[in-house]
Amino acid sequence: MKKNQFLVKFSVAAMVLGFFSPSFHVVKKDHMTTVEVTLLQKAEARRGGGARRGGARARPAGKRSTARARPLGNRNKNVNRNKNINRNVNKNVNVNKNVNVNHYYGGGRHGGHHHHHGHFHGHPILAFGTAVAIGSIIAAATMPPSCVTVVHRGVSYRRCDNRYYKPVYQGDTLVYEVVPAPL
Amino acid sequence: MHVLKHCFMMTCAGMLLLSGTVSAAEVTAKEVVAKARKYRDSLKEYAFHAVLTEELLNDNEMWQKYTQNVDVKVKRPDQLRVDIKSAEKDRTNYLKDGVFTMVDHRFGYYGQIKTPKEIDKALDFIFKKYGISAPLAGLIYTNMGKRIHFSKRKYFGVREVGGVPCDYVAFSNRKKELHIWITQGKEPLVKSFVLIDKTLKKRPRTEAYIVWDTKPHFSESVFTFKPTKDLTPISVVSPE
Repeated sequence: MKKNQFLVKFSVAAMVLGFFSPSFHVVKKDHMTTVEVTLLQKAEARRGGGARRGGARARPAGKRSTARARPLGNRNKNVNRNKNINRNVNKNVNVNKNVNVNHYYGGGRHGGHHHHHGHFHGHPILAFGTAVAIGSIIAAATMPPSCVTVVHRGVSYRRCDNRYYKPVYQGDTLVYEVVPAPL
Repeated sequence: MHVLKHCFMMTCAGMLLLSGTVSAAEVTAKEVVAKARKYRDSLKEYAFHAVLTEELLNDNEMWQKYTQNVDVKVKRPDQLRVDIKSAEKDRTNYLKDGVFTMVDHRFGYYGQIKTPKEIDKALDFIFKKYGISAPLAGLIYTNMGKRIHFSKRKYFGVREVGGVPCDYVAFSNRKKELHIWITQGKEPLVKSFVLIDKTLKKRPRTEAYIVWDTKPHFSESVFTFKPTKDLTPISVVSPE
């Protein structure tokens, strides 16, 4: 009888501990090592992405670990609670700082669309071949290879059909300005 | 009987403790990236080669891929060289002694801008004043953690990229989604990334595959621009 009571008590204790399954998280910060003891896992790990307990690290997101079977009902409640904590924290941090992601991870190219060649000091950048006036800006990519380079008084020009084009970097984009023939 | 009971208790307690897992390696996306940044920031000199592919919408409303081969050489605090080769570009950018130089090998032009000396400040200056972005600037700047922030992040586990085990993490906000693969081990570095533009309906991507050299041997001439006879100086103006 006593033996049975002990087994029942022990089983109950084991289930409670198994449900909470404490985790110890070693955090190194500013040369200090602290050990965080949590009864609940981090939301990220629980959602299936993180390094799972029991060494199932390389498991793809969304797949459940078969190593441990636990009651599901109450666990979902805990997941939601963690989710809310994350959402509140991150919302406050993210204040219009995502504008320049392209600047940091792009290829240095400007503008995502090729429908037009952009603008230069308020003037549209045109394609070569259109009827252009002095002062017009031409996209370098549209200049025909038949144009020749002319250097006059240390300044480089491109000459195409007796028209002169002066190269200039608009930022890092090469454009040509239609100029009068250099004297 | 008593001894048996004790043995049983000890075994069960041990099993419970093991199942609890002392998880020193419970990884989060933020930690993975922070570790990689810390390691890269510790390098005084490094170089990397990247194959960078950007998708852009062309005039026929079709996505076109533009691939650039980018070679970056960094010598902190104030020397940088970026070589860019693609179907449209053949360019070398230098930063040395507070002068940023763009050399267009295809057209035979070069342009120069006076900048602050230090790499981070110089990159900020040419971007703010001239709208010039160095390709893959995120892998050149120090303290990148303070520069961009995302509202969502996730650690997806370990994946192999080019035969190298990498931690796969992703970050997103309303406009962008950034997936990054970072090599595991003592030298965590960005092996690959995909940037997805969520502001456009078709969600164009920028993809990069990166090979690092953390122990480069740079000669002085690597960062020094000397104009040759076939190069002509042209002016650089702000787009505004």
